Amino acid sequence: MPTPRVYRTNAIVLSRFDLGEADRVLTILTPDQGKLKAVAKGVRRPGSRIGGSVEPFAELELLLVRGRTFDVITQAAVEHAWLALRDHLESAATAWYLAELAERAVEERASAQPVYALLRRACQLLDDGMTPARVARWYEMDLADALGVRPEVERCVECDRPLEADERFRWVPALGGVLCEQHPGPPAEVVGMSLAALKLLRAYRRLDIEAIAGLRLPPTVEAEVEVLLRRFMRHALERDPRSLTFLDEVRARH
Amino acid sequence: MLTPSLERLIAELSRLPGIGPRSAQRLAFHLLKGPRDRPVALAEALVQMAERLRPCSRCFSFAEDELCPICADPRRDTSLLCVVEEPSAILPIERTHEYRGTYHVLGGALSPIDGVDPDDLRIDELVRRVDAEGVTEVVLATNPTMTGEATALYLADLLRGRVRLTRLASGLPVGADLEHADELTLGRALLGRREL
Ligand SMILES: [Zn+2]
Ligand SMILES: [Zn+2]
Repeated sequence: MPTPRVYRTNAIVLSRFDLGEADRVLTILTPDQGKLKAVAKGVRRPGSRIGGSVEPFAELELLLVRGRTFDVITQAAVEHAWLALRDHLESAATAWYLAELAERAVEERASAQPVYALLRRACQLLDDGMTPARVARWYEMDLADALGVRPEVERCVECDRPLEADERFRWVPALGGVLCEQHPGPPAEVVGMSLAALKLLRAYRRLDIEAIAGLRLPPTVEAEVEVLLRRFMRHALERDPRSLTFLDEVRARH
Repeated sequence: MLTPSLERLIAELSRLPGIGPRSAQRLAFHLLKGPRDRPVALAEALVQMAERLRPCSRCFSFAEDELCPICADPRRDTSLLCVVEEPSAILPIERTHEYRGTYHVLGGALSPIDGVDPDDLRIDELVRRVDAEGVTEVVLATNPTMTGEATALYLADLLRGRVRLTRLASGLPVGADLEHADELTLGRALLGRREL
């Protein structure tokens, strides 16, 4: 069914650029139409009716009119503001990274309900003050799922045999998960991994984020899982997100 | 239909922000109608600007000499430093007549998703100035946008402990009704409320 000329949608602003003297073009994520570009006219002038609302990291309700190049935002109301997220640099940098992953993962004008719900919840959790790195790992795992490439962490990706605690595991993003010790795998893409990391990956797969947030974890294992999931996302999305440079720098200073 | 020089003028004018091909045509014809010396004066002003303007070696705002008029002014308080994203933000602050310190132009705001990282802004230069110029207070006057806020937080992290750090208050536009305020602006205004 074609979208009507005027339509209403919830949206999260992912990124934006200035256009002309006072306009801004926003890339927004919506549940039913995936990502799309929309123009907010006159928003850079103080006193603009919608100016303050159409910033990244708030859930908005928008009224849009279909346009030739960009749809035009005619009304905007804020549903959730997530103000605390903006006051903490690591949370903000993480939100940017998650937004970039969503932007990469979602098509234009195609339903994106699971990704929308995921980003919305991640922003809420960051706003509530949950450890940004755990929110990010949980998000990466679930985003991979939404993309149909959820990592296999229970069985060997080659022989489908359940993995045993006493063997050596290898992480092979190109094959979609963990390889048991009986297969060589593509040499350039094989990364060794510890049993503890495998267990944590399983926890991210099986448990909800609220349960994971309460776990006491050795920092080395968290760091290992971070590397593994990053490799996985890089493979799934075909390159490293640009916002990682900033996130890494922010974290290095704390 | 048009002569080559006229075509060229219209093409150049239509590259300006907010000017489409039709307004460019109107402007070009307007310039042709008046006295001859008017377009010449405009052209000279443009050439002068292009030849003389350069970044101030201290604050990176516009200058025609080594220093911009503000940095060169001995009456300005150099212990107070106001950080802005672009030179265009200096003029409105100057018009308030509330500020007697100096400025530092970053050249943008952090925007990790677009690949704008700290290295792309004049942050090292800022830190060096804070250390070298006896600055006691840094006013973070980046825009009240997600990118501007993140930039302010980043700079605050970097400079904390060395100087007093302040941020422009963000809140309701003067003269506006509360009921017309958007929730983000109002939320910000509530967080930034102050004792009376
Ligand atoms: Zn196997
Ligand atoms: Zn200067």
